[in-house]
Amino acid sequence: MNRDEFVQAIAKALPKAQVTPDPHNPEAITIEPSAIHETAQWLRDDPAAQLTYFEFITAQDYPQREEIVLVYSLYSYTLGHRLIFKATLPRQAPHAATVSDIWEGANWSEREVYDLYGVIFDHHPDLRRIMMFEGWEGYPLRKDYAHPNLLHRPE
Amino acid sequence: MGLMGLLNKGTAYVEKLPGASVVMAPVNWGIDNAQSYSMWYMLFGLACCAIELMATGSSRYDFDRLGMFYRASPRQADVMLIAGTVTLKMAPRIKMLYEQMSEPRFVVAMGGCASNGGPFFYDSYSVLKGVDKIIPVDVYIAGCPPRPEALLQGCLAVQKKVRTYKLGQPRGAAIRIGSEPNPIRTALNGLIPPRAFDDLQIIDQIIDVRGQQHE
Repeated sequence: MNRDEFVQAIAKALPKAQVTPDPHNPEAITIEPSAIHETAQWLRDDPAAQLTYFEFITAQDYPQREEIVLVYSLYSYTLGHRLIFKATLPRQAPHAATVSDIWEGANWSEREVYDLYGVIFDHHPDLRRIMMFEGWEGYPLRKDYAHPNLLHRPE
Repeated sequence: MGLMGLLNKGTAYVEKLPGASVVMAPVNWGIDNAQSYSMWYMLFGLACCAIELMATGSSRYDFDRLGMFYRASPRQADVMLIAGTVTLKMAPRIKMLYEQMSEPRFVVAMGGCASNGGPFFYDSYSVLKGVDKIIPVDVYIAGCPPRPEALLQGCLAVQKKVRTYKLGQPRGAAIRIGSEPNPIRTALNGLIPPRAFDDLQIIDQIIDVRGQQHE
């Protein structure tokens, strides 16, 4: 399946997801954040999709637009195709459903995104910091992050 | 070096007797040389400097001919080679490992990261800007990473330091390998304003955080 076939299939199976092709990435689609869990379940279990391998999850911070975009990358070893799906969250209170019950490998990846971007994954079994230690304040990969140890290179 | 430390201490007492220095000088010479040619370093790699450390330990450069041999326990190690980037998360552990080493203990800061943060001095929130912020350093080795030759030179400097070191006396100034002082920077030394932050304070906070967690 290529990207456009994915868009059609998801629109048919899950109209709630409001799937659209991503304008910037020829492999990516965007979905509603409230439908992340159902879409992920469908993408893994549908016989035509079979995206059983969870590659990674990361996030993008857009302070001007007050948005954090989650980026999930999936791959199917049986069918040999890849899909990236994105979901836009509000920057003030970014919440998303965990997919660690669908792909076990998402557990630590989601912890990393929580650690560095501050996205809360609801129903995650063990949502703790993973890179930084407990007690660290703030989310370092956000654009407006400031820390007394962070010294910017003089121009 | 626990036994060696004891011997060193013992000779310090004997030397107070009249005429003892004639007897003790060769003994001290022997002890100093024995110590300096059996410097076991703590097997402790943090980043890419550890690769150069491994290269120095392998057959082409052969650390072992200087008596440098790895020991994967801080309690039986004599010298700590900080080979790599020290992150703020790692800093309390390094301090803990250093405190577990028995006296006399020596520290070599290998490479730019361990010496002053190196390439991570700017634009990094998580890297400690020099391991000398938490533990005393005897030898700094410049390079990113230093070549094995530079590391060997650093080890020879440590051995020299071990031979001149006397227990209970202040340690000499740190030796810098491969970095000539920059004359321009030396001239501007008083003119550059101090840093806007206090690393030590941050480290104290981190150690406090860790301590609270352990309790």
